[in-house]
Formats: sequence, C-alpha cells, structure tokens
Amino acid sequence: MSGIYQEPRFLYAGDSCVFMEIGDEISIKIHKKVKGIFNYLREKKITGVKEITPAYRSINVYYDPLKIATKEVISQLKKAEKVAKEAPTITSRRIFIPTVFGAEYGPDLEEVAQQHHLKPSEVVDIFTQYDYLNYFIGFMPGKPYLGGLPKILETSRKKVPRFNVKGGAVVIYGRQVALFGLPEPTGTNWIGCSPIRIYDPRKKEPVFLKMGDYLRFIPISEDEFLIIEKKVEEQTYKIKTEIFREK
Amino acid sequence: MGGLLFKDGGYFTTIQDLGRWGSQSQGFCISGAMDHFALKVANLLVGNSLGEACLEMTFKGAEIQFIENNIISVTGADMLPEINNEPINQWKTISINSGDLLTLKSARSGVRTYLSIKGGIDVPVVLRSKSTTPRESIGGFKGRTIRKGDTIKTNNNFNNQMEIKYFQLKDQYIPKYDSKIKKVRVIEGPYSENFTKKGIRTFYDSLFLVSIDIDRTGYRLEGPLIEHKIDAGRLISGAMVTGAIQIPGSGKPIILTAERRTHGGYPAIATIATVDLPIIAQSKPGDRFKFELIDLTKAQDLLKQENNFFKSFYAYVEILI
Repeated sequence: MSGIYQEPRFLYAGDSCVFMEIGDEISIKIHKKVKGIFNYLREKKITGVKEITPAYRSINVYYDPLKIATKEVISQLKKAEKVAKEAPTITSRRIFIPTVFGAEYGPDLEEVAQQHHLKPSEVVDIFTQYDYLNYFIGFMPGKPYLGGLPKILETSRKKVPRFNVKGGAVVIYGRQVALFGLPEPTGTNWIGCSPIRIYDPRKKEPVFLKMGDYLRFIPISEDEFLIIEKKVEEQTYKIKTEIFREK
Repeated sequence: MGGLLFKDGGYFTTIQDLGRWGSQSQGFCISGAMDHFALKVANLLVGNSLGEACLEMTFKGAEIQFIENNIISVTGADMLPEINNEPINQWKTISINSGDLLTLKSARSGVRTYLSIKGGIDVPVVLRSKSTTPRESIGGFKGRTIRKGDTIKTNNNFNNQMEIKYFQLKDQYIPKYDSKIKKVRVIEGPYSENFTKKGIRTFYDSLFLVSIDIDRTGYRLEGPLIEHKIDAGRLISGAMVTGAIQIPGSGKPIILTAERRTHGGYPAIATIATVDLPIIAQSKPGDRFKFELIDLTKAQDLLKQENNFFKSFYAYVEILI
C-alpha cells in the first residue's frame, strides 16, 4: 500500500471502456481526488463518452470506440487528472439512518460482539458514534460504499455466505459498512436493519444517497422501526439530514 | 394504438433496448438486449431505428394475439414461430393482422429470440431506457417479466396507405448457434496481472463448459481452475464491464452479461470483444467456449465492421415483394 500513484494507471476493460486508477488503497485523500476528476469530466461532456463512473480509487470511462479513439479517452483522462481540483471538502450532508440492532434485525451482532470480546450493546454504542463516508454508489441502485469503521470493530467476512439479507440490512466487513436497498446474498456481517429505503422505485428520484454523504446510524426500538416502516410505505417519512462540516 | 395480448408469457420474456446508460453511478445496471446483433437486425427489418425496444424471449417463447395489424420481425434463437399455426420465417419482415395469433416454441437452437414491432413498444422511458431490470423493478412493462394476460401497447404507425418494404436477411448472414465448441474473442485484462503464467495458459489453452448457472446477470463456466497470484483473488471494489471474465477465489470463470452489477471485487482475466457478446447470449448449458486472444485495435475494427454491416444493411437482404 502506497497511497496515490505518481502517475495514474490506465487499464483497458474490453474494447469500449478504460479504467484510470490513481491509487491502491481506500482513503479519503484518494476519494477526494476521484470525486474532483469525476465532477470535472462529468461537466465536460466529451463526445463519444457514454458514461463515467467513480469507484474507491478509479474513474471509469465507458465510450463508443466508433465515435472516440481510445487514445483520445486516455489523453482526456490524463488532462483531467492534472487539471481537476480536489473536490471541495467543506460541506456535505450528514444523514441519520434509524436502525434496529441485533436479534432478527441483525442476526450476526452476537457473533461480532464475541469476536471482539464486547457486549452486543457495546458494539452498537461504538458503531453509532461514528460518521461513515459514502465513497460512491454502486453494485445495486442507491447502495453506498461506506468506509470509516473504527479498527476496534474490524471484522472479516463470514466463511459461509448468508443466503439473503433483507432490504435495509446494515452490515460490516473489514473496515467497511454497507446498507442494502434490496435483499441480497452476502458474506458480510449483518448487525442491524433500517426501515428507510435507499432505493424506492416509486419515487421520481429513486436513489436517495449521494457520493460524499456521511451516514450516522441511530439506534431505535422495534416499535419505532414499525412506525417508521409504515411511514416509509406511505411515503410520508422524511429522512433527517444536516449540514456536515469536515474537521 | 395497437397492442399485444399475451396468451402465454413464455419462460422469461422482457422488453429490452440497448440498455440504460448513464445511471451506473446511481447503482443502476445497464441491462438491455443480451444479443445486440439480433435486436438491431430485428429493428432494421421493420424500419425501426437500431436501438428501439423489442421483446426478448428466453428458452421458450410467448404466445401473442395482435390487437391491430402490425409489421413485425422475429430474430435470434430459432423458436419455430407460427402465425395461426402456419410456420413463418425468422430474420424476415412479416405482416400480421388484427386477431392473429403468433406462437413461439422452445428454442431449437440458441437461447434468446427477439420480436420487433414496427413503430416500437409503448412503455415509459425510465432513466433514458425502456430496458427491463426485474431485480430493480425498473423499466419495460411494470419493471417485470411478461406474464399470461398482460397487454402491452405498441406505437403502431402502420396504415394501409403506407408502402411497406419486406426483407429477408440473406442466409449467409444469419448467425448459426448450433456449434458445440464456440470460439470467443477476448482482449487481455483489465486484471490479467493478478494471474500466474500457469493461470493465463490454462485460460487460453482450455475448453470451458457453460454450466446450468446462467442468466442475464452472468454465465458461470466449468473447467480447469485458473490460478491467481498469491493474495490476488480479490481487488478493491471497482467498476465492471459487460463481457468481463471474472475469476473468483474458486478459480472458475464467470462471464458478466447484460444485467451485471455496476461494481465488483473479483479480477477479470480477459474481456470479451463486444462483437462476440451475442455468442454468449445464444449459448446454453453444455456448450463449450475456447477463448482466443486479440488486441484492442482488432476488437475495435471488428466493431467497425459490424457497424458497417448495419449501415449498408439493405445490401445484405433479399427484397421481397
């Protein structure tokens, strides 16, 4: 692990996509650079480029090789890497995610607690004290890739993947956190469940979270869960957010 | 407004165009036709634009009653189509009358069949596409597969005054899906560096069998295990592309297809040339693949050739009266 590369690395992903990797780890520094380049390129609207996506350490350009040469894609990326400023860091959103932990809402909480020689309630206390940065959205609609889990809760993936977690599941793996929009098989550790929907195809803007949001999980009771769940179903629940200033 | 009344939805029938581009950074997958070649030809045969939405049928076709007169075409896997029990040709412009019953059977060769309707299918455009992604409950008809009893509207711009041209794609241009061993051209990477020399040799020298685990998300293959370098079986989660051949820890390849996820963490040893994606779409369990390495320039030249085929499409058809 050495952080940001001196020069970015370009990888051909088939005949119509180039990945530009700018580093080899998950870090806020690399994230800011990715976000800066991503925003810069998105505004540029390059002819022949179908779509650009970010990830932890890469910017990925899907293009039509009949309309733009691969060389030109790479030279545009090189330029963007030099020119784009780091994404502004001053403000983003902090989003409060109400969550029930343990029992059938988080079947792996006990096991996670045992692994760290903590009580389940202590795991919840630690987990809910931190803000988790959404590095980018991907995998399925609205799903955040969250980082920032404290070392004390670092937990490896399960040896035997669970068949399916529920939509709303809150899971941890390594030093990462994820929140599921739809049921999904996963090998991550399922510790809680939120009644909010990060993906709601009924809505005009079905995806709620954005790259750069900070998520804070708020412990709630099962009764509160059921009340919020009903409001979400009726589309009357408003997710609490506030302006977040980085230290 | 015309329409299609489904007497039988078939095994797995969805509405697909060339995919939902521009929303991967919100987590939406591309989706779209598994076999873009068959979809484009189906559209050209009825005078639609290349990327108009068609019905994609899988393994077993649908039974459809037409509410109004239409012009249609059936391409892709051979599902022995019939109108009112009379066999019709595939890869051909066909006129169909109000009340007629179009029946498609189990695929005799290939897997996926496309039905184009002159004027296109009238479903909402969601995030720039009519493609269905059932997993995301989005696009197409109510975000799901077509079932018995559904009625789908069509943009019928057909009228009796219009002069309709009828074409049949010449036989030598109709793809054949029968061969048991299929040559699939790939370009290296993006993560071939994560594999040992032995792993790479195994990949290019072996035959891989299509397993029973195939769908619009991916094709799992069986064959000799492909060896990663030490600790190189997982990556920091990054972007994915359609046609990528991922090798997870098990060492068995997975080809990512139309409904692949936007991001993932297994390294891809090679990526299928776009022009050969239809070969995958039309392959079924038991077929075998042999991967052949080509370079980027070659893969893009092949794409240009394919594009020229569509541009001069009417040179490759017989004009019927």
